[in-house]
Formats: sequence, C-alpha cells, structure tokens
Amino acid sequence: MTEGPSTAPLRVETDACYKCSTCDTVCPVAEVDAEFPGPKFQGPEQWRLGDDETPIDPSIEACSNCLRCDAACPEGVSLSRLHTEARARRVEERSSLSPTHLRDRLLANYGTLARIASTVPRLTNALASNTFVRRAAEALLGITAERDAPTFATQTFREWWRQRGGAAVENPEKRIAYFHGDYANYHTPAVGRALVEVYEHFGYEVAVPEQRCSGTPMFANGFLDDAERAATFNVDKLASLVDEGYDVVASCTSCSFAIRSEYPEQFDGRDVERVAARTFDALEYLRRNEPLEAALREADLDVGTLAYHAPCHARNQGLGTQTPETLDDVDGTQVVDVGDSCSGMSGTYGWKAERYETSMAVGEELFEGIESAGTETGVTECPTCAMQMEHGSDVSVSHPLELLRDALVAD
Amino acid sequence: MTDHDVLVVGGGLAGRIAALSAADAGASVHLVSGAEDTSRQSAGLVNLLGYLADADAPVSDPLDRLADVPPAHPYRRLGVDAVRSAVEFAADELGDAIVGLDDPRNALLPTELGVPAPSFGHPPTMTAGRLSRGDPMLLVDVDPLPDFDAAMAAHRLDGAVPFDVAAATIDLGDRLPPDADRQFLAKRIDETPGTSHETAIVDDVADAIDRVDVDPARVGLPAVLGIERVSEVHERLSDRLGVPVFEIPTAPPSVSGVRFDARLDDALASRPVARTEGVDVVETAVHDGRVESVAIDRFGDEEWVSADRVVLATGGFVGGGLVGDRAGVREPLFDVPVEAPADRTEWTAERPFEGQPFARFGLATDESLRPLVDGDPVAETLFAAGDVLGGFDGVRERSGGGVAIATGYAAGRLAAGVSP
Repeated sequence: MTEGPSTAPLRVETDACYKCSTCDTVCPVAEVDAEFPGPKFQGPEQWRLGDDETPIDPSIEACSNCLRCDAACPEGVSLSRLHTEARARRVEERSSLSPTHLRDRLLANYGTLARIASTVPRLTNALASNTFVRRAAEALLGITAERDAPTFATQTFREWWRQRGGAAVENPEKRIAYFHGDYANYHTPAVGRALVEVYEHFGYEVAVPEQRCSGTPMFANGFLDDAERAATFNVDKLASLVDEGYDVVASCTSCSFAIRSEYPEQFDGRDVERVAARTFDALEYLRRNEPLEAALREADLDVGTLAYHAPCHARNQGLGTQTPETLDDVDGTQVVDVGDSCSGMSGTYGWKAERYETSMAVGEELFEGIESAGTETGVTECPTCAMQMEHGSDVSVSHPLELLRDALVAD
Repeated sequence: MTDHDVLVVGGGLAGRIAALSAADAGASVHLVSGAEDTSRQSAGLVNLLGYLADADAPVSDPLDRLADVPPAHPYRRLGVDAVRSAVEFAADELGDAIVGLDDPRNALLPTELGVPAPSFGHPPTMTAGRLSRGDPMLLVDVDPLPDFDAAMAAHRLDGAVPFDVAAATIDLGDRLPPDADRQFLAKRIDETPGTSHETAIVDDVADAIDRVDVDPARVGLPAVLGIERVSEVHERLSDRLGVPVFEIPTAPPSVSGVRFDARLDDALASRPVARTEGVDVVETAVHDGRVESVAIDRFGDEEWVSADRVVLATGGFVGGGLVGDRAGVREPLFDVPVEAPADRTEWTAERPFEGQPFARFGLATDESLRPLVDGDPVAETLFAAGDVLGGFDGVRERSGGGVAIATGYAAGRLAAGVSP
C-alpha cells in the first residue's frame, strides 16, 4: 500500500524535523512508559532511517493517536501522517490471524458492532455487564474487564429524530448537517437531542444525513482501507449537503478532527477538501456565528462548579479553551479546567487489556485535577474522555451542548 | 469572538510576555498561538546579553553594555530604561522560578559540555553552580541517561576555572529502564516522594553520590530534579548530602525548559487573556494604516478576528515568522520584504559556529517597534516583538531571551496604549 510515491513525500516531510524533541516532551504515553520510544522515533527517525524493506517497529501499537505531537511540532512536520502510515504498514506486516489483529479490527469497526447490538439494547447491556462475559472478552480478545461498557440507549438518536419527524425549523439561510457519530447515536442520544434543540433555538434548520463511523478508531488502529470506505461514504453524503449550503457540525471532537484533518491528509479529492473546510465543532460554530455569549449572560444554570477536561483532539483543533470561556459567562456556573494532560483513554486504546495500565497512568493527572476541582460534575466534548473521567473519578460527565440546552432552551 | 484591545500573534516567549504586559496595562488581550513554544527546548535561562559582536570574553554587566550593541539592535531601539522595566516585569511574572534578574551582573554557569557560559537569570537550582563561588565541584552524570558526560565536562571545565572540578557517574539502572531520558527521570522523581514501601528516587541519587570517593564543596547534576516538585527535591538532596547541589542546564529534552514554559503558562492563566492555541494565523487585512483583522486557519475555513492593535511575535526562521527562499527573505503574514544580500552565499558564514549573517535578518522597526516597509510603518496599529525582528544575533550574543522579553514587554505596553 504505502510503496513508492506515497512514501517519498513522507520522507521529504521528515526533512523539516530538526530533532528538537518537543514532540517527545508532550507525548503522554512516553511520559509514563519508558519503553515507548516516543513520536520522534515513531515518526521522523523511523521514516528517515528505514526504507521500503525495513519493518515498522511494533512499538507503534503503543501510540494512542492523541496527536499532541502533531500539534506541538514547531516545524509543522506532519507527525499524524507519519504515524498513520506507520500503523497501516504495521497492520500489513503483522499477521492478520493474530489475536491482536482480530481484536483491533473489532474495536476499530465498533460502529458495525454497535449497530447490531443496539437492536437489542437491554440484552446487550445485560451481557456487557456480565462478569463472565467480561472476563471472557479479556481472556479471548484482550479487551479489558476493568471498564464498564457504555450502555446502549433504548432509543437511538436517529430513532428519536425519525420519530420526531425530523427538523422542526425550516430556514434556507441557516442550515446545518449534524454528524452525530456512533457514540452519541447509540449511547448518549441526549447529546444529539441537546444539539438539535440548541441549534433550533438559534433558528437553524437541522439535517441528519446518513453517516458511518468517522473513521477515528480505524486510523488509530491502522485500518486505512476501512477508514477509506467510511470516509468515502461520509464525504459523499456530506458533500451534497455542503453544496446545498449546509455547514457540517459534529458534537464529538474526534469526529470533527477526523473530517477536518485526517480525511484531507489521507485521502485525495476536492470533495474531501470542500467538506473539511465546512466542518466544525458544534460549540465552535455557535460561538462564531451566533451571539452565544450575550445569550448566556442572560441565562442561568445552577450547576455550580464544573470540572472541564479539554480533549486532545479538541486542543489540536485550537478549541481547548472554548468550553471554559463559554460557560464561565453563565450565572451560577463556574468552570475549572482540570489541567493540560491527556485523559489516557484515546478511544479504543484504553479498552485494550495490554494498554489499560498505561491509559490509567496517563489519566492520573486528570483524576488528580478533578479531585482538586472538588465537584461531582464534569464536562467535556469527547465521549471517550468522558468515559475515562467517570471511570477514574467520582464525576458524572455532561457534554457542553447539554449544559447549553439547559441554560437556553425553556422546557 | 468578541473584539479585543490587543491581539498577539505568536505564543513564544516574546508573544506571551507581550500578552502579559498588555493585560497588566489593563488591555483586553487575545493570544493566538500555533505550535508549542520553542522555550520548551531551551535551557530555561534568561539571557540578556552574553557577548558583544565578535568578542570572545563574556559581558559581565549587560545592562551597562546595552549602549554598545549596533544601532539597529532592538535594545538600542528601546533604550536602557525600557529594557530595565522589561526585566523588572519579567521578574514579577516569573516569580521564584528565575533568580538573578535583580542583579545587574551576568553569572557564569557551567554548561552540559563543561563550557563557562554567561547567564543573566537562571533557575534557583542552578545558583550553587555559579563559577564565581570559586569552590571545587563534583559533576555527576546519571546512568542510564544519555548526553551528559561528567568526565568530559569536568575535564573541559577544570581547564577553564581556577578551582578543581571532579567527575563521577552514578547508576540508577535498577530504578530506571535503559531507554529513560531526562524528562522521564524528572517525572519519576516528582511522583516518587517515598513511602514505607518505596524509597524516593532522589534518596537513591543521594545514596549513590554519598558512595563516591570524593569530598566536594558542591555537587552538580544535569537538570533532572523534578518538574512540579523541583524546589522540594533540590532542598532534600542538598540536605541529604550536606553540601550545596546545583543543576546543570542541558540541551533538549530540557527539563528546565519545560519548567520555564510551564511557569509562563501559569502566569498567563492568572490573567484574563483569551487564548486560541493550536492554530495558525494565515492572513491579514490592513486598511487605512490599521490592521483590520487577521484570519485564523480552521482547517481550510478562515476565522477572522479583530483587535484595536496587533503584536506580531511569530518568531524567526525557526518559528516560521520569517521565510527565506530563492526570492529572498520576507515576513509572510504582512508580506514585508526583509533586507538580505542578493547573493545568497552571503547569508551564511563559512564556519558553522561563527556568527551567522542570517541570524540578524528580520523586520526593521521604528522606535515604537512598528515594522517598516520602505521606511514607513506597515500599519499604525501593528507592533512586532521577538525573533521576527532583525538587527541582533540571539545565538552569538546570547541575547535571544532578553530581546524577546524586552521587545515583548514594550510591544505589549505600546499595543495597550501606554509607554513601556
């Protein structure tokens, strides 16, 4: 796959690297795992020093794809491209019969599993919380038994949308296409409902296009062919809406990051670029286009102190401060940013039995930050960060959109 | 985004000092920064002026010698009083993270290579390493950490100073994996304060040094004594050994650079400065002598933000604030041509460690730090600070940090509408 022309530009990409080690100093995995060589090795060194015959170092599997390295590089070396290609090559070089491969493929294609599981939500929830099932999953598949599986909602977001009859507001001047992502659809439809209510409050016509998984877990696990299939489908659906004047908004910052950054990096095509340029995070879009701050200054929301964690993929989009800056304006609400660290969850990463300890070690600083905030309410844009926050601390986590809905939309 | 009084483009040392300075003057500030600041790689020192032009001897009183730098140098543009105010301001913002800013003299510190180097301000953990103390030193390197070789450094330093410098190696191989680097050890030190089940790593360091068969008046280690708990760890180690302990500034990965960066961030966090981080400014709009707005790249879309005044602190060639190619050198955001010899072979000196002509390239400004094009300000409301400026060689002079602080402070004040 990555032979010839596509590797040449990568090697040229590495020319800008002068080994300042800044990427290494921001890598959350390298910080806790001394055996992990770090992004400087995974990226520029490996690509500079290897050739088409050199196998990719297996340590790439320990990289969580948080992509802080990519955002931190002062020279703009595309570490995300280098790591994604390394992972893809690693997957090719690794036996497709290995348990790791099977497990990773399952986790990466979570969307497909979830679609099936969501047809029988109560049964799935019962099975997923069964100790024997969890232990078997760990022994046979390497999926950690330490975590509680996310519960499946009895009504998915899309089911709610259909039952509701779709958009309640018509407005050809202000239209958004909602990319809800698999997690909100199957597990936290309240987030999707909140988005719809908030956007309709500001007079937007909402569309909910057909969509597949954004591909983030596929990129993170090196399944680029799967990612390309998902991306092709998504871009196709979204591009036709963009052409009709819709902007795309996503409630999960990994979804928006995938569409805006990973798609154009990995896939060619004017549609890909056009969609990327018109895709935004849901809160980002409101802040830029609506008098959100003014509206919030009139509102009140008695939630007291909120422990906010900025997801890595939000930071990488320059959105790490949007939630504290937005919610701090609201009466009765005080937002405490619990710190700079990565949550350690990184989507599928924290679910892998052999990565669980690293995931929790990375999250240690987050848990301490939440404790110092002294509150039981957390807030974050990323569903898997939320999972980690709830797993490692005594907080119950909301999405900023849910809080906006509570503040702005009368019941 | 609401409009602010001051927009700072660039989150390096100059940019952050500018943001702090403007906020301190009462302006509402929006700071936009792209990647991580390169100060994370620095030794964590504040270098005001270490050397003049081609002189080999270090400057001992930098504030007195500011008048001796070339006329185009930012220090001369600003004047000594403004530089002094900037240093005072930085001292307040950096707090106890940096000492020596109130002492007009440079200190001489040993570098990782055993070379005496002048430094105006440094972390308190390096104080006992000042060469002026005159008492004998023991330099200690730590296995398995790479890079610092105590024997080599001691040998070189011993030849340059009137006191004895000895060397020793201690082995932390049973506490650290073979791949450990300085930052890894520093983090472990932070996290292992010691319990009944596990000795603090710093105590293992102390024990190992105790076993060395040398009785030094002071002991130097590469800067690894923690990130969060460094003062506590430093004190504990000094107490255990019964002699002053000092850290030696290192090349990247530099733990003291990471601390310095964190302290700057803390200073910013305590001010109401709006921050947009992780994205670049890619375009600007100038009309009628004012910077109307600048565009932040949002993955192909552009978000235009405005402010009354703008500080450009985007860095030099390394930071991306200056671009050089066959066509010449320019500042890309406002498209300002930068003076450079037409013959590109004249951009570099023959030997790599000589002062390099390209290091002096950068924006020319008026006395108020407004970048000039053809002798006129690009805009009345545009100011510049840091490495994007020309007229100084931060590497040869050991003045990069000082210029960043002085021009950042001044540009921030000017952008806030007050004089520095």
